[in-house]
Amino acid sequence: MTTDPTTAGTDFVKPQVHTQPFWDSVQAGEFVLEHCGQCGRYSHPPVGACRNCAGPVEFVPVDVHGVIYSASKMHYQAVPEAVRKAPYWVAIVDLNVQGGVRIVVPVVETADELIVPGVKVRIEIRELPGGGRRIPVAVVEASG
Amino acid sequence: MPMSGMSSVACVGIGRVPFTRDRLNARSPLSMAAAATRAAAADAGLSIDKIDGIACYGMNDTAAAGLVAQAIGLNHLDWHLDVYAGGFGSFTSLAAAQMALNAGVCTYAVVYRSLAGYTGSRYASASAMQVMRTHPDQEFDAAAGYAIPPQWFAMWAKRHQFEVGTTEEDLGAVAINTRVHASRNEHAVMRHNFDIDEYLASRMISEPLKVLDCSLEVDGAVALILTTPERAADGPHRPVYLHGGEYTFNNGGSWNSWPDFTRMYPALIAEKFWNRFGIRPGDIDVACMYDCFTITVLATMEGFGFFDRGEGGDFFREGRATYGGDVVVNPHGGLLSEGYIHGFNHQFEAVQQLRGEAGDRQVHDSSTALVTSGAGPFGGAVLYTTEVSP
Repeated sequence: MTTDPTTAGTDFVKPQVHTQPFWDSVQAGEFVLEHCGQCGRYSHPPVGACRNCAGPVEFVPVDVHGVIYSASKMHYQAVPEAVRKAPYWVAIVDLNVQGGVRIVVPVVETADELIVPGVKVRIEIRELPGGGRRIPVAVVEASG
Repeated sequence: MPMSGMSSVACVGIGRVPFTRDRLNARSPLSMAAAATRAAAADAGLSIDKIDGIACYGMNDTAAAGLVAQAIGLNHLDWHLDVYAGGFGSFTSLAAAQMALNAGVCTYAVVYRSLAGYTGSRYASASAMQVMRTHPDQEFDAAAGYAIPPQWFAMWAKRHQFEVGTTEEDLGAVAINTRVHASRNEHAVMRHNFDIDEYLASRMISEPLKVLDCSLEVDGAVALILTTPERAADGPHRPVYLHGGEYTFNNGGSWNSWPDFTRMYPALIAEKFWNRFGIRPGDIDVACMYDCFTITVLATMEGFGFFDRGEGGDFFREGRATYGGDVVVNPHGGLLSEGYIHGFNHQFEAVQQLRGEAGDRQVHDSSTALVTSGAGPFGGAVLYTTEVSP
């Protein structure tokens, strides 16, 4: 079952039935979150029903701004290089959506010294280094 | 004061196999579990057929309880349980056995953890973690290149640095203290001592965590035999009593959504734990702190009140976490240096210390041990003492 991390492809990311719409939207260039039509709660990761009220959920576009809660530069090549080539940055981001939602994303196109807790970021969509799949990433806002 | 509805039980047998990093002589989780459980029965002076309960925990990387029972010739069981869990399973599997014994469902329960953490499913391998597949977060984390435990704990360490002012030297103080202890333990896999310069120069994994901040992946197994106190008197060793403790599981198993990464699970259970037994940190002789990473030790000891917020580095540097200090933390060398048996070697160490059988690393006159399991939002703590009542 062990796969050589340098050659494995981007099938490393395996969507499920209830997460596929998220990936489909991202592939189309739009960042979305699971949202409850009944109580209005946003949720991530998606679970296919509202965590709060069990109401029906749909994926909706959201504010793409947020703040880094924590971030680390990854030196060890733990994932296939087609997913991300070490060293690379990953951040946990508190998104500016009602109720608060966290998402874990790579931070790209940003100088190391700017990637610290508390800085403002913008979610963008980028293709994985190995091609094919597109994923959400964070870029630190120029103004900080 | 016992847990409501829960009476103390006795640990009468401990067993383990050598912890190794040896591809040429790799053993399966099943064979190691069989050897460790047999060793525990022999240690208790019990014939195998006296065991009527068996439990274990793991993440698709263990040998199932029923299979291990069969592997040691136990064809009839009254109780068995496989707990799907991370490090906190050390607590949940023992607590389940305690409940089963209290309820009279079984009379002698063996609890074990067995894993081929070096030659088999490596926690540092993203593909192995995918097989273990623990949570809805994982699919999204994997896409971000955030797939293995040192990457997760790096986020906790970074936030602790940012908010509390913890330094790399503070983390290093934990690693150094743990290794000094391991150097006295012939069962420990890593016994070479290092200083702060060697620590700071060691290979970076996920900032700020270096390789010396991380658990030592090994193959191995550890087993404990528990029974009711009245059955414990006849064994060859002085019984050590397990009084249970406190446990908490949060955010549905999601690491990412825990609100405050500077505080781990003790934020929710520490006071309940101390109040349950009417003791304080100063009453603990031996603290086997779950040390998957150095930050876990700093954050959980802070949470249990061994020192004030941000004081952990000084606590370790000033010798307060070793012999002659406030409390001896991980005298066996922990997961960092003895080896990563997912925290179950901490239970073994507590019993061996309280028996007074820890040899060169014996904590003099120790009668009270705290053992923690798990990290981040999920964890538990149990109390062992040499007396039947805590």
